Amino acid sequence: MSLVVVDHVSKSFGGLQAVSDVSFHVNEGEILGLIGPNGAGKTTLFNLVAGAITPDRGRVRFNGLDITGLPPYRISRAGLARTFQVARPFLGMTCYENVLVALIGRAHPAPDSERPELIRELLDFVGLSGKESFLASSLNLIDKKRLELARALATRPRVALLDEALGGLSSIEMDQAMGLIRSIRDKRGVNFVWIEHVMGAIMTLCERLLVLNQGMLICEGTPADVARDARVIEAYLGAPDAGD
Amino acid sequence: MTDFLLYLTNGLVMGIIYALFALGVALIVGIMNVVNFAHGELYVLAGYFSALFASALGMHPALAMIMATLCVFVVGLIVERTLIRPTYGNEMYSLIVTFILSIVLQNGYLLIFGPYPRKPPNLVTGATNVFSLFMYGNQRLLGFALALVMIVCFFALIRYTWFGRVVRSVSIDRDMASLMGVNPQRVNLLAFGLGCALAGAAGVILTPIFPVTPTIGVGVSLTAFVVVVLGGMGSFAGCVVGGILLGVMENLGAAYISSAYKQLFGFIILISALFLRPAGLFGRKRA
Repeated sequence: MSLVVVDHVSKSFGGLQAVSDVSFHVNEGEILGLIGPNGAGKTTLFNLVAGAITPDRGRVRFNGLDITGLPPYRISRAGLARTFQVARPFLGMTCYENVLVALIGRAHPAPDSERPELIRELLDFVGLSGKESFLASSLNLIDKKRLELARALATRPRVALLDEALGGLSSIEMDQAMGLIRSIRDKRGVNFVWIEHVMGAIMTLCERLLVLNQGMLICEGTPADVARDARVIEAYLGAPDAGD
Repeated sequence: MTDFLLYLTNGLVMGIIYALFALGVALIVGIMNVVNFAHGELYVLAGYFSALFASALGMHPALAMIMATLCVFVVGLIVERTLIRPTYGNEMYSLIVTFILSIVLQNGYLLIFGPYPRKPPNLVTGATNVFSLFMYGNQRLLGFALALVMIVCFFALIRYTWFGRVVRSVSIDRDMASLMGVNPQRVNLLAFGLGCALAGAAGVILTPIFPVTPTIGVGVSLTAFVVVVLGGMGSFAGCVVGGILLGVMENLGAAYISSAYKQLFGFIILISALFLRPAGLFGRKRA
């Protein structure tokens, strides 16, 4: 069964058609890659799915439930999490408190007595062991991303939307992050939709890719298929000259 | 010297109560970006409630104080749900709505209670010899202690409880908190009610000392705004420091310069503080 079904969704801002008639689905156990040149509408598409903005046309279904136009907290409680291109932890709060808020926000908040244990476990899992009492503002870039991931996991999602999880990381950190994403899928049964510009990473981790260009879905398939697709090459590199 | 200590004590007592009701304004501004012009009228409402409960219903004055504060909490919830919620996203509307509410309440009080000062019976009587220097009214000492306890409880609530953590997360990043499953409207509702209850708590503490009349709420609101801006918008620690600073300066100024200019001293401190630190004493720059 498809966990997320996006059905002919469109959104425009003034005269700009940011997302036009996009349909796709996310299968159980999948890491779905979403790529496309800058300004293709990838982040807008995430905003439409996560409820930050409402589509002009089309529906979004999650786990059999129509979530189109629901407020973001309801979508989060249904089991859909998202992270941002620039990590946005609650800066004035500790790592512990950051995760705690997400545990409380769940549809069925974690019981009081289990919270400290759950938080420690989540922070260990993402590699923030021993940093419970650190202020989020004191963390470096990758640790902020780790914290954001721990917080997203604390909402107990079925699907997580990752917006450029690797942006700004060194190659060693990228390997760590990719290992983490894979183990979240395998150990916690979370499915991902993942926007990424680091092609090597997305080609390795994803079984299926979507390519967006100027708000339209131009290609869908395995990484190998997508890499050979003429429309994709044109979107990234431009059309070959007539004289060539 | 004894005089000076007396004025200082007066300033501290008033200052801590200023801090108490200013915390309510700071909470509501920090969470909802709403400046509640009816804050002082809710203080007055709590004063009337406590007087009514104690004299008309014959409640024990302490019970009347608690009941009056709870009633103002509930009134705050109702105001948020009916008047503030439709204005979400436009601070100018909420400003106008609360301003209208303050005028309506003032005239309502005048109609119902008349222009005469009202107060509940004192909780304690007599005076204590403070540091064997001067006699000081027990009711004022009790008010000081109660306000201090309320402030400590408020800080503990915000810092150590799940409710406080959720409130802080919403004040830091509302959109992100809602992505964590936090219902921002629910937080608004509770924060507004709690903010009003803080005005109410200050009201029941001060009313036995300064009986309420329909219009004294205006001064309370103004004082609260001065304290909040002085301390830095949205900073709770700033409220406490700002409140005490204002209370002490007002009382020393009134004693040594002229009591006719009491209000002026507050604004002189405010303007000079803003001159040096435009974001307030504990203010953080806002994006």
